Amino acid sequence: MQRVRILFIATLLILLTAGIGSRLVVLQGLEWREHALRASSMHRSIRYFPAPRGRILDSRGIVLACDIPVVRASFLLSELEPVRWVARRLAKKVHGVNSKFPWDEAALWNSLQGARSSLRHQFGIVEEMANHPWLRKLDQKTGQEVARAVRLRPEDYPGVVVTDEGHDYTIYIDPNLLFAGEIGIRRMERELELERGTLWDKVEQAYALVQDPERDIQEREWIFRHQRHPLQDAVPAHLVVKISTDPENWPGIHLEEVRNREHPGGSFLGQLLGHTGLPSQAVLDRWKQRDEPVIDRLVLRDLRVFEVLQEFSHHSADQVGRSGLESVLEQRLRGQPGAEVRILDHLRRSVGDPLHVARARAGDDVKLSVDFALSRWCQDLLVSRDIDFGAVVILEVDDGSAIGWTSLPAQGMEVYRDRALYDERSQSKSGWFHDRVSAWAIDPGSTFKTVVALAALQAGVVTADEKILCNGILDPSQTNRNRCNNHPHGIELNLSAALARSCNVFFYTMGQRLGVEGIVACGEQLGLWRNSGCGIASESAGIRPVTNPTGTAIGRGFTTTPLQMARIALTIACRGQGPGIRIIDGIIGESTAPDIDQKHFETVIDGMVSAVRDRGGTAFKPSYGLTTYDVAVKTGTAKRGQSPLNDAWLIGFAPVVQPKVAFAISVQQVALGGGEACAPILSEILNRLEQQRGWDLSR
Amino acid sequence: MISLIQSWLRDWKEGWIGPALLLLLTTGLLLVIGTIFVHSAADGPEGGFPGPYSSSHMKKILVGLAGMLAFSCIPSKQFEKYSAAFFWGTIGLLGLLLLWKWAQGGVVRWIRIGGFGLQPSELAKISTILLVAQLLRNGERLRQWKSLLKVLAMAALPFLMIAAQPDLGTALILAPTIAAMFWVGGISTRKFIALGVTALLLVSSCGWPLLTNYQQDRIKSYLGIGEVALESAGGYQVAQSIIAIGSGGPTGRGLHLGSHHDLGYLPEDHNDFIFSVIGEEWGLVGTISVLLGFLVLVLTMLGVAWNCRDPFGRLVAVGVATQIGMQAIINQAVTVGLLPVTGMPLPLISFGGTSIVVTLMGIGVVISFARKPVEVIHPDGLQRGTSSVQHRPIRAQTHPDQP
Repeated sequence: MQRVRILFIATLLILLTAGIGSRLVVLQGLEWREHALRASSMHRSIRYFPAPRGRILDSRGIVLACDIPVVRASFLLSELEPVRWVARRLAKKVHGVNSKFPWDEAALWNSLQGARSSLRHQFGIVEEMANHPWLRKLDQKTGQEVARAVRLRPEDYPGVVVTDEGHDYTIYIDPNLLFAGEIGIRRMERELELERGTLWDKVEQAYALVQDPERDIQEREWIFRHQRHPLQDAVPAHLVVKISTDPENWPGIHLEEVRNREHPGGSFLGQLLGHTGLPSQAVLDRWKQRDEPVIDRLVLRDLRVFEVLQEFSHHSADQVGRSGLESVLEQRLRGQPGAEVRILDHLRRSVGDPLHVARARAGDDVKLSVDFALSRWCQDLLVSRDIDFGAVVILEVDDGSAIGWTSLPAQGMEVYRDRALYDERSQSKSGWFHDRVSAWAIDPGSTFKTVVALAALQAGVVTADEKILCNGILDPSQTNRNRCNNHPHGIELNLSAALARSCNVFFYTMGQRLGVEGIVACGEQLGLWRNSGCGIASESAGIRPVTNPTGTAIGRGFTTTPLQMARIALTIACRGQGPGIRIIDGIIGESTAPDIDQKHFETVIDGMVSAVRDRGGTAFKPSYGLTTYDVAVKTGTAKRGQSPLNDAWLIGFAPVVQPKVAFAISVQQVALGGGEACAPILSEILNRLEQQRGWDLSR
Repeated sequence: MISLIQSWLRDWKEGWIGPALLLLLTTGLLLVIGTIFVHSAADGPEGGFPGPYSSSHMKKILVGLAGMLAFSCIPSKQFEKYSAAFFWGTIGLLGLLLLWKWAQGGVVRWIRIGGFGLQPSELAKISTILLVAQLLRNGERLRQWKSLLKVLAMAALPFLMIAAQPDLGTALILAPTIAAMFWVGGISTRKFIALGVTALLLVSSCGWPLLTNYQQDRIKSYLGIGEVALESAGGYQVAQSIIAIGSGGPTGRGLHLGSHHDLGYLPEDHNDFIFSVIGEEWGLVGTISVLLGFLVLVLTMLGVAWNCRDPFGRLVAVGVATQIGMQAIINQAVTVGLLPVTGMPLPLISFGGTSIVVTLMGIGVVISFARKPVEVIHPDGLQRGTSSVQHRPIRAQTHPDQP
């Protein structure tokens, strides 16, 4: 019985083996041509997606910076053309038949390159090129073997045609197939109306890297087999359609979606937002030091490893912040790259659904306190008044939020995409690359008198009631120095009146009494000459005064930024305890708590109110339009050396009691004074705020 | 001393003509094919032969061949004598692995000793065969349900421990092996069918939740149920395997010219899917040769079982033959898409370590029985069931019943 059962098991195993044998006969006997074609064409492709960057939004959710997907063409060297495979296979076949054949694989390859050079002038121009004779006078035996191999497996010898010439054989090459890669790229140059060779040179450069003996073999292998070399950014739609619907005619060219960073507002807020770019070598080295891989440089077979690395990885096409908020907020804005595994057929069409998808994760959106509409309106206002250089910053008094932020000249991402423009502007002295609100420090002019006034009151070198006679000159024995032409001469002014009329002689005297150190000490308490801590990039601290107390007292010989002066106005509006400036959600700047009695602030505020309301005040003129507003201001005019042009200033807040908004306006390189240039602008801004926010700022 | 050596040499020279030689030749042929294709799949032609993978493979083959020759010289009684100790030793090793897994987590299938890795689950395959053969040798245990179930429980122990690693593929191969041994051991057809149906019911009702996600995905993908990412289910691997095999055609693309696996589209090309590489490079000629090679190997071992007078030897031969045969068939069936992916390598051909060594040891055990068949004393003498191997003296031996 046991033997019967052994026989049963044997029979079962034979039947199972026969089943597998029949399946093999079907696969390898009946269906093999179909599978051979699939094998030569189908391949799995892992596609990596750059990390989507988070958006930068204004206070109302308007997008200030975002990613825009564009289609980029890139190429894979190993897929570009089958020339090397053909040379290798032919060499093996020929030497298998005739070991004395004079040419080895390298010689065949060089010969094919020679044929390419002779035909190159037709690439991308002639649609259908004729077959080109290559190897002549092959003996019968070799020719028959090669012909048979090509006939049985034409997909292994694309572009090879073997012809029996009677006595011998000739191998022709069909350049349309064999050199399809270069033909496709030349055709692309023609479609894009580029100079011939613009794109093919990139392929040659990539080949040169592969042949560079200085590089190690693994890197060369990666460059040849796996690296996608950029060919052309922002491929136009008609070409995208052609390449994607007829990939057979564009071998080796891949279309991939990458992300360009755009500022929908154009150049507005450009310097504040900054710009992004592809990772530089320094950035790549930094990632390497932190063990953060560049994912598309790894050769992975599936996504299991990718999913572990995704959180820490980057993509070589990631946009990295290079300046401004894009740089400062890099860690918050950067996302995580994604990947998907697809099977592609010989036409590079996807077969079925993706095998595995690891979705890219967008970075966090960052909200700013800036009101895009208000700020943009301010810019339009300045431009409408033919102002080329200037800044407006508007702060909410309650929490220090910067709701208005305008800088002229405005510059956006366009300068980083135009080499000539970049060169021109980087050499210009107009400070194109600097945000004029926070990074462009200039003489504050008479607006600084508010600081001197507070310093003098707190130091006790003057009282609110003390009057000083102004005859238009501090020292009559030095008639060409320390003059005052801001008001009629021969009147006595107290501190408030001196502020209102911006009397230089009064403040020269204060300067002499305080000394530079006394002035600087007060200025530092009020936040001058240091960063506000609100987190923006490249904030300028300005230049602290060190000498000339009289000049310092009227705001000459040192520099501050409009942001710092707005902070002064904010502190005065708050009567001392000023909140930190906020511009980035989640980051609060340094608050001010100067050691100055509140009554002194009231004295200074009286003077600032009088500047608008009292006849003789620097902002009094009805034509300025400020008299109807409940506002306290200090104007300033800083001369620009020997130039006839000035930098006009105005700082202040409104309303006077329970203020809502503090501001600084700087109109630069104009022939006007602070009141004349800035007061009308402030009037319109206050009107706009009333309309937009419903605030009651009127008297 | 000299006479001892002479006696040993005489013993060693005996018995090679016949099934033992056929087993040796067939095994050798499969090993050579395996080495060639491990080199083609893993090393490639550029580095020359042998490459790192083929070198490692050959070293393991040498160890395995040494083990095989050593086992083929061991008297068959020794296998029976030490089968229990061997079995419990491997159970101990499996237990250690499970303890490590519970402590550290993850998948643990190897024990590293120095620079060598040992896979206890492979050892358990041969030790289970030896123990079950020893328990079933006289067929008594198969008559009573109680004793039958005890034997089954012993055989199920390594099965469950291996499946818990998890290594379901290796565990599963024990099932047909034990079933064949029970069948040849003399279990009644009714009991056999009852056990089979019960096992099927248990697996279908309780087995599914115990499977890991990727194991469930593989089965779902194979059955075409639900939406499963092909990659995790092995559907992609099988699709590429079929393309690779089919594209080989009748005569193959040539050694080292199989671009489908060479370009990385066929995963695990030197392990579970090496049959696909053979199919791509040597075509139908190569695959049928391998198929026939395994068939000859297995039928020769069954022939040894047929001729073996010792029930223990018969059962061991059947066990080893079934194990190798079924593993080969399952591996080949997976590569041609007839079964879901199991992760089972092709015996003697796939790149591996413990698997090759243990398989060769198993063949060595069968060769031992083929070289030195043991006569069983029948109550009516030698007339019934006379062995065809008559040209060597046969020594009568007694057989203890208890393990």
